[in-house]
Amino acid sequence: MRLQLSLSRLVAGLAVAGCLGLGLVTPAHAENKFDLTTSYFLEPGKATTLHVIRPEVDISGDAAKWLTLRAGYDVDIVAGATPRIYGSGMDAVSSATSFADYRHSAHAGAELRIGPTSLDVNYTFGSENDYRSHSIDATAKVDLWGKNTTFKLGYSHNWDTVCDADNRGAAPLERHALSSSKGCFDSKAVGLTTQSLSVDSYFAAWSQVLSPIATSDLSLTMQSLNGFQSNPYRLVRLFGSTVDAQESEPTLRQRMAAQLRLRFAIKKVRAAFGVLGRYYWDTWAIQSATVEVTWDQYLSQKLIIRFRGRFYQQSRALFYRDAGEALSYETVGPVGQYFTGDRELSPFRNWLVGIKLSWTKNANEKGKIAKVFEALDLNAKCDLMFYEALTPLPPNSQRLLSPINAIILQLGLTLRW
Amino acid sequence: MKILVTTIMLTVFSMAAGCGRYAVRPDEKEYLADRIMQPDYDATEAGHDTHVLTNREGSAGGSGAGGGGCGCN
Repeated sequence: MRLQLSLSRLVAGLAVAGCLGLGLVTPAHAENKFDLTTSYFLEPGKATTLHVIRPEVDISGDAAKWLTLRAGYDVDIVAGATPRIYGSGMDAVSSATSFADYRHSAHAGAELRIGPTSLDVNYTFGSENDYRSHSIDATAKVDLWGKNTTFKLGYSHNWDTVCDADNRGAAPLERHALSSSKGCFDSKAVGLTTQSLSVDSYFAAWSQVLSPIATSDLSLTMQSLNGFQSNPYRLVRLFGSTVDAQESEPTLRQRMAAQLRLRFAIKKVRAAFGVLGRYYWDTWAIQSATVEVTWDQYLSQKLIIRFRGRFYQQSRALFYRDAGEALSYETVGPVGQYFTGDRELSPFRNWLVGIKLSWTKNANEKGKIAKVFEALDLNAKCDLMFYEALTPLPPNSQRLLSPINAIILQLGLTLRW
Repeated sequence: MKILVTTIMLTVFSMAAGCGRYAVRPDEKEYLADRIMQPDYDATEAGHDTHVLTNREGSAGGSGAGGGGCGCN
């Protein structure tokens, strides 16, 4: 279990937010924005239900005609239970271990605009009991040919630190799991250590206006992860249940994704139809395909409804062995030195259906909203996820027994002035 | 891989057709300027969505550069 983190960025963010809130850096004709969004994620399961609440607040404002500053903060409040050991014949109720954690994340950034080009830079700090993360990202953008074509190039780097049981010098089958986050990042703690993970992400995108009613964008991303990527708490049962060892995943993973989005205005009914396709592959041999369609429809001048459908399917990682198959870790052992109990590395497919309502009020000739705001957006959405395992006994299989495998609710408020 | 390369080539040629003398003029962009034609209009929602899905699926990427981190249980 790892969650991400954030802090020095919080200080910078609060300074920016304070300036924006007081109007100290706001030039004339600026566009300032305040956003408050809260999501709730529920994954039901017998004794293994997972709840995640994520409130987020963001504020941004134009400090000058050529400069936008932004800052934000969010927290993941996670509570639930999960089996600590992956293997066959495990009783979900007795093997489930409860946990509760907070992931705090703060970010601050700036967008610099010069003519048709812009440069966007951000810093994020994330912190939780057993995981720390510093991240920077930068995106350069250029609008060409009457803003019909936009190219973007982006890069980000993460410096992450993960708390782990001190297994230095131990072979993979001898490693024991972290029992709790107590003492993590305390240099005086005994039996604990920290592992590092660095993440480099590269991104290129091309957006193109195709016609007065159609747009497209094509993007390619590449990510390289180098370092500790296992779950330090998770054990995997091997060799006829004689060995329970800490999950062991490769330390290097390279990921590629290509995505195409098309969007069409349906003038007659004042709606928009969107379609997305994505193909993903990585050096752990996972390949996946994603298809998503959306329909946005004005119900009135102020009210928009969006319907969304998404399908996703992936293959298994090279070193994933399912506990319900003949060639499981328990019967034949690990794949080389690797073994995992991570559900996200098993083969599966899922569907998502969702609905979102957005209500917008704009300032009019009678004046601004509450004498301050140019626009107010309220939105609410509900997504349902249905998950289908493609192997007999993947990790966390208790969470697959419900008719609906995950529910995502979200409420949002945006103010512009 | 052949299908992927063909798809990308077709996409690139189709998108390139939108450049140059076929470009859309500013006075023709009434519908394109509408918020429902902007897939990333609600960036916060998109961020929450990405966070949930990348922590529940073995895939990530496609939509832009961004920080990693975890949030996986």
